[in-house]
Amino acid sequence: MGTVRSRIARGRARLRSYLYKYRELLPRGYRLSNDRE
Amino acid sequence: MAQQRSGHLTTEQLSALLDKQLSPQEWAVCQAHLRACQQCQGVLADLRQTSVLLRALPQPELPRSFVLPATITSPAGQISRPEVRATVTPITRGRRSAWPTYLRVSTRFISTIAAALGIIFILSGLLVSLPRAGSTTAGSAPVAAPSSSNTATRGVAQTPQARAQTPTANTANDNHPKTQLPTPVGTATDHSFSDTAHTGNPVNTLLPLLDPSTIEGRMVIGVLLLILGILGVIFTRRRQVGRTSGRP
Repeated sequence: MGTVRSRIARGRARLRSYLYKYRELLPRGYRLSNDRE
Repeated sequence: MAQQRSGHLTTEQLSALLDKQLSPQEWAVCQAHLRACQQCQGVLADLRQTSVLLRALPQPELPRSFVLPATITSPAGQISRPEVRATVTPITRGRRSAWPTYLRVSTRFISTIAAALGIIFILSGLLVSLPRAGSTTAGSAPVAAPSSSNTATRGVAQTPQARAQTPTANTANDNHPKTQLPTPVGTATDHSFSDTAHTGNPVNTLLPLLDPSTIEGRMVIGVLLLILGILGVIFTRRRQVGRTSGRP
């Protein structure tokens, strides 16, 4: 289970980074928001 | 509990917190840190929203079910937990064979035998026709003489049927074992009117092309059996399993 948790965590982190990188391509309701906006 | 050197929670810890995979002690530590750390709260919110966005995507149609059978257990016995099995939903296969295995195997076996018999029939027809090619012309002349006398006698007795009877002369030749030669199809069709008087096979009257005693019949039967056998083998072959695909 430790390996599965690690892989899930890495996948989510990468997807989060990708969504932040291409925020302009996503509708407003699908964009990730943070304090840096 | 391990944390980054900067004192914040790692992505793995936040993901485990999101999936409720932390022990009670780890959960308490993470909750205590999150109460005081805005940055970790933001990262946790981002990860939660990322999961929500991912689940909102349309699910693709999987080629097969990825549900593990209940009999399979890991070395630690973790996979066989009932709660794990309860959350996984089975997926039916898209391309499922409707034929039972035994029916497919038996049909394939019969098709193979039919194809082999077809080849045997074709070869027998070919082998019989080869030596007879030189002797057909010699055998036809003496046989035609008595048949012509028969037609003459019949013509005198029943003139309206003379035209119908003249083809029957050839039918007499056909019924004679020595005169199984390639004859026109039109003459063979008149068997139904007068062949019953002779000792001919009733099958010849209805299905002359499927008469195994003739060369054409053997060839036709052989070709039909071969085609049926090939079709049966083609339709009973196993299909390849589709490619697997997964989601991140």
